[in-house]
Amino acid sequence: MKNTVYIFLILIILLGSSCEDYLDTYPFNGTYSEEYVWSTPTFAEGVLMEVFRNAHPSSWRVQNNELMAVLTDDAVSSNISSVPGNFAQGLQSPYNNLSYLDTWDNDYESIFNLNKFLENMENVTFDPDSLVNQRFIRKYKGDAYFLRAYFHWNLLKRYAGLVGDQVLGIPVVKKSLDIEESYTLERETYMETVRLIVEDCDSALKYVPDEYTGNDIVTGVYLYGSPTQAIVRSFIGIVYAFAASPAYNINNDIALWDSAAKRLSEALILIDGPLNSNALPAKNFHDPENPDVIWRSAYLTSNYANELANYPPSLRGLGLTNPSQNLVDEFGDAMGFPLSESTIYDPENPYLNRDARFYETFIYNGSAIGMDSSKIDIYSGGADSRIINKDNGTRTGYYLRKLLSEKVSLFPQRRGVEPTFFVTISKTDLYLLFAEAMNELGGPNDQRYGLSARNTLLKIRKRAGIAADTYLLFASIEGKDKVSEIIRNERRVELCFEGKRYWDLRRWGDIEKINVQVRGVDIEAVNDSTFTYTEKVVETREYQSIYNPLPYDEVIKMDNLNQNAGW
Amino acid sequence: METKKGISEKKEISLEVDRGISFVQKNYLPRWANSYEYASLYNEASLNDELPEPYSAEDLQGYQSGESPLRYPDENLYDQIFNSRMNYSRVNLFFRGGDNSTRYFINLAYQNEGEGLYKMGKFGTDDLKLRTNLDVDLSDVIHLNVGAMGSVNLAEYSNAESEVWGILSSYPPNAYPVEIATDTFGTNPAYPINPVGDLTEYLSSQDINRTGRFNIKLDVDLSSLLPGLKMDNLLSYDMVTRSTLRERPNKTYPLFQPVFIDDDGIPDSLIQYGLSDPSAGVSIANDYYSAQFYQYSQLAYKRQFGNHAIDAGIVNSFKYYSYRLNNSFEQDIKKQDLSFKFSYSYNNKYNLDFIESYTGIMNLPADKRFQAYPTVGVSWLVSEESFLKSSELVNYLKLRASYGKMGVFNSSELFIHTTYWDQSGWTVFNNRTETADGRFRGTIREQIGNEEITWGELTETNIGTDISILANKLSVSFDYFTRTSEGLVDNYQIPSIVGLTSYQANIGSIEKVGFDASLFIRLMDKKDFDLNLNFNLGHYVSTVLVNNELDVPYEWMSRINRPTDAIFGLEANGLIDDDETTEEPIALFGTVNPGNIQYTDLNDDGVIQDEIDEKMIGNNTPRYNYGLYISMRYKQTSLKINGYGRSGYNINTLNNPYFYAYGNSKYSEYTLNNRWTAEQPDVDASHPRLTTTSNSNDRRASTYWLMDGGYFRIKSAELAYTFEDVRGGTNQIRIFARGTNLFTFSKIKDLDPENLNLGVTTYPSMQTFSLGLSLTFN
Repeated sequence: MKNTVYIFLILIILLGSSCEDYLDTYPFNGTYSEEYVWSTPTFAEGVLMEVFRNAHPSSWRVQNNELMAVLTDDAVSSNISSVPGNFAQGLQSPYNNLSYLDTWDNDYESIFNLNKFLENMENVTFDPDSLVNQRFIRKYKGDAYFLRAYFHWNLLKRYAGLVGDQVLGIPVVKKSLDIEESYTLERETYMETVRLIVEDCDSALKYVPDEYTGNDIVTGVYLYGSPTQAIVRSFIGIVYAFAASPAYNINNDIALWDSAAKRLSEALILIDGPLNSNALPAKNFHDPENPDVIWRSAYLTSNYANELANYPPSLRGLGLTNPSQNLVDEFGDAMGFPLSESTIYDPENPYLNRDARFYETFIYNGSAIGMDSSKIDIYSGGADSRIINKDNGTRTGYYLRKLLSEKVSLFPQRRGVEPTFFVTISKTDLYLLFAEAMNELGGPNDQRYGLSARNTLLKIRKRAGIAADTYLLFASIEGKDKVSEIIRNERRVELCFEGKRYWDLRRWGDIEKINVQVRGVDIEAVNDSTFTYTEKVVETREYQSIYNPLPYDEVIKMDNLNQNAGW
Repeated sequence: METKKGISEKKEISLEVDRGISFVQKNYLPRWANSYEYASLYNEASLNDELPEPYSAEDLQGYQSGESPLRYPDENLYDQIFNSRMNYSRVNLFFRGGDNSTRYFINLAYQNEGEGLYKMGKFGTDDLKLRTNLDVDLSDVIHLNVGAMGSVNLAEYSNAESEVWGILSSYPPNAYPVEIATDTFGTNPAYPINPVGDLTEYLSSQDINRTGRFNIKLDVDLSSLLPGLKMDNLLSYDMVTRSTLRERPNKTYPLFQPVFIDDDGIPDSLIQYGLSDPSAGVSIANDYYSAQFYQYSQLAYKRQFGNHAIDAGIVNSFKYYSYRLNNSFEQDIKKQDLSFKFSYSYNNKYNLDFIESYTGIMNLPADKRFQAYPTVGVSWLVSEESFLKSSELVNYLKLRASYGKMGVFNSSELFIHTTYWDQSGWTVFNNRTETADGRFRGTIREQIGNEEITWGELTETNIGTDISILANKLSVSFDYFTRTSEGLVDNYQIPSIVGLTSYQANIGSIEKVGFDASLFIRLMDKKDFDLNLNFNLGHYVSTVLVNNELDVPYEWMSRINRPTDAIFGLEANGLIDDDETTEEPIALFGTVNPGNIQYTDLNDDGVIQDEIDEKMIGNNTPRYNYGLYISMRYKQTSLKINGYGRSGYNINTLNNPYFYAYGNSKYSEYTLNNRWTAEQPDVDASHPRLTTTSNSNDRRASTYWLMDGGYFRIKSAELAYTFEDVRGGTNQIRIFARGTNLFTFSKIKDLDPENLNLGVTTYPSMQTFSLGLSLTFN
């Protein structure tokens, strides 16, 4: 009897050790298998939606509230140890690149999602109604092709560069890769990358609708922001305009400018609306009806982040973006003449009689801003001078006004919010690119695609308040080079702080124009209304190359990935 | 915690009462500059920054004279909030007893720390523990042991507690007058929090921790089946719950800023900040629960056949652990171990041990989760050999060696082998109205699974000896070991063109080499007097042999072949001299002036950069740990002294406000006495030039901020006197005095070298003295 009990006990131990499934984990939130993703419509849809979320920057900022302008000669950061500011002063390198410029990982992750989506989406039931489902599949296919083109473009813009005597683009990935095959991928040439991008755009054009409007379940306004015919065509135009630019078109193939002009004109014909007559820069980014916008992020409400970052210290902002004297000087006089040729500009009173856009772009000494029209004193010893605000006073003599809402106040207490959004493609951008392409192709008066460079410029400048544009009319007689200069200047003025100049300077390909001294102004008060202005150098731009480096790690990890020249 | 088993067959009651005082170690309190010194230093910092001096001569005079404390406050917040000592009391009660077949044990312990160090606010801790154990011989061969333990710990603390240290380490002494009048607390918009006011006015929270433990042990003697066979079974269940009850919303009350117009030092008006709102409710802020179930069974066979002794066994154990925080969903942690051990000993001279362990974890798929690993050990008791057996000198000499492998799995990831996706953020589409938004949840691939992932392997080699000589007066034990872990799980970097930058793989390898040594000396061993000395020393270094690093551009950047606790940073070359500010290398961390730190440009490119110019500059864990234990008894008086020390490591003082002040931070006497000044520009000064900015040139990891962390400390001592045979029998009365943190020897003198944050950003270092009485009645 006793022995039986013992043997029984021993058996229990041995049995205990043979519970095979004791250590099994149970299915866990947050670890969904791929089968689950493709058999669950909301998850399948999410694979595409994740990419949409990364398509537009979620704010105007590059890093730590810094605008992209601090990477160029348009501005400096009031924070002297600003990371982007340091990059602009020579810190850029393949192993230490600014995350905004180094999107390799994230962009290829988006491309992976798109490839997976395109490979699997045809079998997903997005809607129980099979007709609606077919329409969804078409729409999503259009979205995915366009976004795949767009993310390759994002990479091309950042990583294209000279290797040997060739301009190379990036590895183009049109299927979901496994790890083994990824090691040997190579960079396509720049033009081949462009061809592959446009190929996807052409596929997208078969599926994307003209517009998102009404209450339709597939093309209703609730999906506004998805690609349309106008967005895709505008995008193609931009891709060609870059491809035709000197940094990538090193043999100066004029046919590329022709393609750019043609594609841009196709987009402009399709858009064909009026320019937003009220599109002075400061008004652009809060008005959801703004017809200047072609593609933008969703509308962010309850937001005062830009104001907090950029308002002067006396209004409880961080005074972060300090526009440079270089940029201020590019804004001409009220009659459209550059300052050097102006008859109404007075260097003793530099803020009088300026281009209307000047007043919408800068906070300068003595200007009034905000809900309470507070006067901003930047002269030495004034409430917003660097001397009083040792960490966040302006270093250039200016604060940023563009992008900021006057309906937001941070002082004496926080009140008001205004919606804002990030514009990725605007009509102004397209018109100016078109003008540039037309001028390069056939000079200021060539009208082969409907509108000449000169007339396009007139249109933009007229909206900015330059009514009788004698300066431009005379300049256009001087020919292509003079007008090219005006177009570049106009882009800088019109699109400043919108994240364009960094890329424009690179595609124009002149390192001398990139590495310049960034100037500011010291202002001394003689009396309440008289000031003296002394220019000073604040920072120097020191980039090693017009081409960005590829990430060091990826060059090491992959077998055939060539680094750009100069790195 | 191991439950004490009732062992005596006699009844015994013992009571120990212990009451003590903990003193703040004044010599380790940070000494902050007073208002006059603060203002002078801030003026100096402003001058250094070419800014106007914010404090006028009149202000300085005001701070120095201290005649208008409301206008020129000089507040020592620390002294206003904290007492210099606190009391605690402990009571410990034991009962034990039983008869031939049953033994029991009950222990009740209570500890109270009163108000703690605070002069104000609601604070207090109470701790009650009950332990019982019952030991029963159910029959000649079955033995049952049942133990239970329960404890309740209550801690009450003011809701202002969490802010106190942040303010003490940052607000200058002249921020505001703490109390303008009774219960009228001062403030300043730049320094908006008044901790004295908050501690006085705020409500409190209560943490309640309950712990329960229950275990049953059943040992069965199976000699009737097979002589020497035995089975042990253990079941235990532990439970911990922790909840925080918080009175909230916090009562608010007004703070006042005095405004001075004339010079009489009396405020002309008060600006009020905040309103009085005493409403409050109670909420549960945190609710934590954990439980662990453990089962252990052993079948053992132990028998001696003449000169041959065999000890073998099979052990099987299960562990099941689950926890929830605020009802979160968590995976339960389970583990299973099966091991087989076999020992053979010949004549007690030659021993062989063999263990085969078979361990299962839940992180791996079913076909890989169990892995078997062997360990072999041999030892030779040399002193039993005939040539030493009769030695007067050598009493004991044993040589040991072992070699074994063990499975290691250094990841807590449970789905490491599978590719999985998860939901991500929301994507929003809209035109203008929020009501027409399209909102979709994103989906992302979180991980590429690696089906190859398996156990990592730890190879352990040990060589050691135990020696006892001179009639066991001197004993030495020494062990040298190497532990090499291979196949540690780490992120293996893959081309991120596949959509993720890495996946987990068995790639890491670390080698740990070191020794442990101990020395025991019996200096005196008489009936009335004994004196023993123990000393131990441990040393080891862990080195990274392989990690996931890609080729680095410069060798010094590599973490490979460097210690796992390496500190990386810039190499400082003292402070910058007057004429060196514009010379290369240029540090791109902001404006540089004389008196700022100068760094070495390792790659000679003329520029000092993060990462590129950073090399290993020290290590942050001790290379040597040593301890000293002295015990002495003279008749009924006994003395025990316990000390320990650490050496061979660096402490980074950069983020300690006592050692470095910048911007608006508080100034310490260290800053006051050691700073670089324009008048005496000493390039070897141990504090760089003062600045009112957030100087990012100086404020980064470098050799400049490293200090030698070594110290030796007499941690505790006890002096006791025992009255034996009180009222006949074996009754005993013992009185004792104990002390902790008695002496410390170190290079760092200003703060407690064991933790430089004590007194700066957290509670100060304490010295405890207690007197106690222990009564034992049989």
